Amino acid sequence: MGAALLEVEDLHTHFLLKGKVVRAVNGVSFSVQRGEILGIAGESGAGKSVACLSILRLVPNPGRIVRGRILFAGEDLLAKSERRMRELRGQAVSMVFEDPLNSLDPAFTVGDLIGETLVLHKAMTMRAARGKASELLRLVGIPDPDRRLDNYPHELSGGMQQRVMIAIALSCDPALLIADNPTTALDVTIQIQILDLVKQLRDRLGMGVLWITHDLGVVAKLCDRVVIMYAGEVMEHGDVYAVLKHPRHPYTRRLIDALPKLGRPEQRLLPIDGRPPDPANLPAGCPFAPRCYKAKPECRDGSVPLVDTGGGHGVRCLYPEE
Amino acid sequence: MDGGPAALIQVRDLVKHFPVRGGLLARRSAGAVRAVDGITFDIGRGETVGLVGESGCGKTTTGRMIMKLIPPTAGEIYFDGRPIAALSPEQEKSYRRQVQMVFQDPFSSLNPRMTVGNIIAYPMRIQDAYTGPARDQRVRELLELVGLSRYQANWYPHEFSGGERQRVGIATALALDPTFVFCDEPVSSLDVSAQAQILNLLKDIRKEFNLTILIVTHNLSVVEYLSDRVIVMYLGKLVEIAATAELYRDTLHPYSKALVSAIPTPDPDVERERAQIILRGEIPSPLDPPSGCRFHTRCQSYLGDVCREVEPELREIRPGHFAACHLYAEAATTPTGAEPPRALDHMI
Repeated sequence: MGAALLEVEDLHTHFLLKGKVVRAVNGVSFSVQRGEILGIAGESGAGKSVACLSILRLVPNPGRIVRGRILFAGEDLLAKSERRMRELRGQAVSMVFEDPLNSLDPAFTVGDLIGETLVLHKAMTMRAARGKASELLRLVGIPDPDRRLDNYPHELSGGMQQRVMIAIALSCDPALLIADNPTTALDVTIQIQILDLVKQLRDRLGMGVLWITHDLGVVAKLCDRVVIMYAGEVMEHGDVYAVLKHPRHPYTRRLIDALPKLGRPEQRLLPIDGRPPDPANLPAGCPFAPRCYKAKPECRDGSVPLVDTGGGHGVRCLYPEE
Repeated sequence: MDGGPAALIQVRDLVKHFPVRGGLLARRSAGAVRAVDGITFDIGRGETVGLVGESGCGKTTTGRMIMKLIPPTAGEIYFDGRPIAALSPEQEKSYRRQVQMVFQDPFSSLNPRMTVGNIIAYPMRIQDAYTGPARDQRVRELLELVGLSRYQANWYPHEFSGGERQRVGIATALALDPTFVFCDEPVSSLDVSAQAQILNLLKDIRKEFNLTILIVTHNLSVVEYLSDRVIVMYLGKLVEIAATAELYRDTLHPYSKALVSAIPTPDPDVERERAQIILRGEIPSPLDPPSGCRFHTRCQSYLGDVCREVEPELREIRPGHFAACHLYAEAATTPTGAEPPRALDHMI
């Protein structure tokens, strides 16, 4: 496969709270190739966001990366100085967050917000940065970009704000774009515009994309490969078509069965019973075993290995679906 | 429309404009947000109707007017044949009992200082229904009905997960044996597994109590799962009404087509095969909606001047299937049933 753009190996990120250890990310491995869109999917609390913040070493206190290796273009990010990390963030690796209005400083105009990144990372003059900012706004599909440069974030619609966030993220031609649920707050017709934009930019700029979402529909629309996370672990990963069409892990199967499907309203939804485990008190063995319809006593014994079933399709289950 | 004489709720030429004040002392009127701008439809007895559209299209405002939480600017709402704007105090009390609401956010809609038992009993207290031990009995019944345990009556909302809180919200809405329940985005703040539980629960209670339901949501797969009929709204206007299966099979309005094609579905085959309609531009501001057809600025089937200048009427294109679009100018049969909605702009 050649050297991956990003390789995360056996990542453990824990939060130390009042004598408890919350295992938010518990031995996660995945990789992103150049020009590939990898989806990380799972329900809230699965550890998706913490895993991605770990890559940028932005895990908030009291979170700690306690084990693992993160290789970005061959560089070991966990061994880098804070100064080198600051150079990488926003430049080679950039991130788009879920809530654009909370991530854009309301006191600055759009032109200033995009310009700041360019002045800081590319040592441009403010005037050159303004020209480039206008170009970026056009790239992300904002009409009349020159006029928009003087707008403040609150003067833009949600979809536009998210485009500005993407424009900032793209300003230094990143090799890797990390996006954390960036379309959840948007309407579906705007969401599809953003997804289409990301695909076009990937084709044009050849960047790798790591897309975090709880929506398997978005995964099917956008991603090449997908990682399904549950309780801080990877349950299944592989080509989107293989994982969504022929899920091997009972959790993936259940996630798909719980969604209403277009054109089949008569099919009763199969909810997942029970609750996800407390991350401060994870069960031994497979974390999904207490809710699993296939669980046998040995599922709760020791940790279950992630097994490659061929074609890059991996499953962490002792009794995978056929 | 199409509810016939059996319609429980009839909405006629309903308008809601929210005035916007500008200027330093907020005295000068700076126009109005035309949230709902002349809509007409019926909800039949025992029917579940899905009202869909994107943020700001006026769907929640419509529901809140039916709930009599906000007064309309113009137009009428009839419940059981009576205009809800002119109810006597007794009728009003009975109306408040018959119409109930399930809220979007189960985290902020439950009082954190009350036990869920008291939350569920609250409407009964207000309405003097089920007094004494019968009330406690009723609370226990309701808890079990929505899939919780009777012993959880003494718990506080924070002890429940999001999906369980939404069950409490549904139990509260059912406490007074309503005829009509308005569900405002009932699953949009829930995780996938909890979502499925709540959707199944709504489907079950509808059947069990023969409820009439209006469900407002932006999620078209949720609507397809629950509703008999779908109403599509765009910027304060109705653009299409059809039986659910027909709407998805034979979508008429270009906006509905774009909405249906944009629904993310977890089936990669479906995603690859179906036509993707990617609309241009953003949703215009309801403060200053476009002239003519409000969708013309983003429409993929734009016909020209007629769309920009003439507002299309909602007309019955096939039996029971209404659309407001110039594409179907010739195909329309003569309007039947209720009056087609008129543009009410001149009245304001």
